[in-house]
Amino acid sequence: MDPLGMHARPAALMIKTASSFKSEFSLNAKGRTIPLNSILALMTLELKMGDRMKVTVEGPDEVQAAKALRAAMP
Amino acid sequence: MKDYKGEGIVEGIAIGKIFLYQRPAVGEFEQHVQDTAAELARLRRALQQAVEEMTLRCEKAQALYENDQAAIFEAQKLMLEDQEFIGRIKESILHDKRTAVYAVLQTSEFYADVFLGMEDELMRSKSADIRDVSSLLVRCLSQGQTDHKLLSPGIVVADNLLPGDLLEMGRENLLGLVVRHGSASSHLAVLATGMSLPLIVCPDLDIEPTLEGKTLAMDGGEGLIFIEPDSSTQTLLKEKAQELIYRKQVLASTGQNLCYQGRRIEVLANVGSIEDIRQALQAGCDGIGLFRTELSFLGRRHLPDEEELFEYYSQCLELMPDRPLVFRTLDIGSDKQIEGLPLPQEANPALGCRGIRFCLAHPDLFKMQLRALLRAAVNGQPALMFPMITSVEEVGRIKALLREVAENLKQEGLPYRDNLPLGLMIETPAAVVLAPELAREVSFLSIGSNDLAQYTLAADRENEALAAEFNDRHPAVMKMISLTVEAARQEGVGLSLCGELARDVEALPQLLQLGLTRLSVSPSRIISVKAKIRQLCD
Repeated sequence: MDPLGMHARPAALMIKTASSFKSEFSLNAKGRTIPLNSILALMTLELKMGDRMKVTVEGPDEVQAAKALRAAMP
Repeated sequence: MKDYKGEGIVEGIAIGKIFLYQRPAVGEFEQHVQDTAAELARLRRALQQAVEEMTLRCEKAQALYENDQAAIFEAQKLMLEDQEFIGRIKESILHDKRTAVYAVLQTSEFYADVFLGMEDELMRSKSADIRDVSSLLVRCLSQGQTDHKLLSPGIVVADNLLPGDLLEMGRENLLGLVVRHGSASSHLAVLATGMSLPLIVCPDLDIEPTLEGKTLAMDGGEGLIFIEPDSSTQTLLKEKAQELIYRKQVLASTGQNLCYQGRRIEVLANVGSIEDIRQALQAGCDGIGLFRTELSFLGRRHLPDEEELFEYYSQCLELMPDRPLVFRTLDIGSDKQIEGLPLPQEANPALGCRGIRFCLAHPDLFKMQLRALLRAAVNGQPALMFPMITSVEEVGRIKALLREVAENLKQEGLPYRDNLPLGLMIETPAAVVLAPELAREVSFLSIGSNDLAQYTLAADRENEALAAEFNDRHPAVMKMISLTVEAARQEGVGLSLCGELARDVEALPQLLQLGLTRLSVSPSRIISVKAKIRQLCD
């Protein structure tokens, strides 16, 4: 990840990817859990390189969805 | 006459009538409402209208500016459609019985504050985006009562301006901008630069209603502002405006050929991306002397595939059909790891499996890149160049792979070009001493002065303690360059120099004296290097 933080472009890519699946995505980092459907929520988490995050995917297409998101992550 | 000194952001002189620009503040709106359902319906309609408006802005920006500027509005559109953003606004209407306008502004300030509290300046600038998006929404909620298009020529004075405000005003009557808040890295600055619109940031300026309609003169380069300027100030500024126009004409003429002692001198660009190529073209480059292809491999999860590279290289070549574009094949080593292809750690990456050694050790990856390059090469004036060469034998292996790739493409019936000019990077002492033999194998040589200096002097480029003495202008490096120039001349092949040395205006006289005629520098240096060469020619 960009050492300065998660910028608009990678954040947009993650949100776009998540929205293209039926499954529900949620991201847990810094003690907060947010649904992956909001670029503002993701950017305001102010994630930086080295921050740990956990993404949970649940739904009919969860296996593919998880794979796609992994590819889209910075 | 009253004068102020601010920070000049965009150069240029403007004299004209003041237009004060004000966006309504949160407190000025009705705050509470009884009929929340009606308010939610208004919000829904306004959102719809705002999304349409934003789509128009995106199209407008794309037509007017480069990609970077258009991206500002693309990102804003995502914010406008953001579920959390809309959710917060709705909640404020439903639970706190706020008016839609108030709810939007309140939510906007909430996010703006969060962004402003961040460490990274780029993230802080997102506060302007969310405010811009909100102000559009507010305008839609107020049924577009406020139209900010400038109907007669003038200079806009405001506390701050958002990218959307600027598009609203229209370019035709806009002479200049003075704002109290902003910075050189703001979106406003990016847009004003793109429009060549003089811009000054001046926190000291008192914005009083009496300013409206008064005459303002500004010098964007110096950051000087004059309210009701006297005639001598106006004359002075008008003269300076003439001079600026003259200087621009001189810059525009950089496309003209440069000669030194009867030899044509070309200034090319070192680039890493399609954006760099655009910038280089704007600066009037004579071609691309070094395209660092490794950038499309770095910083990503998966290796690019042939189709992706083919598309990318084709786009690059389409941008410059009439000038040479030299693709340097993948130049990586264990100090530049690529995801999806872990390389073993090396004790000394600079002396390890890098450049052409890496490519020859990973023939499948190398062939994939060569296929993409040969296929894209049907357009434009491409050439191929190979990094870190140390022997003639390596060149033989490269040529064998090229033959194999071309043969495969032929069998598959894919269009390709196989008679591309080939070039070798001269960046090791081995390549310098073998320069005559190497030159016989190819069409051109290119000196990579950074690595050549490092390997010649056995001095790490990154080691600051050595920087003063062991630099590219060391006599040993100059001797290496001179030997290579001689070899290229003897064998009748082309020669260029790419590296920091080429942009060092102090070193230029010596390089030209040695007989170099092709220099490749970063896009931002093209104008200054050309200007220096022109001086030397006179």
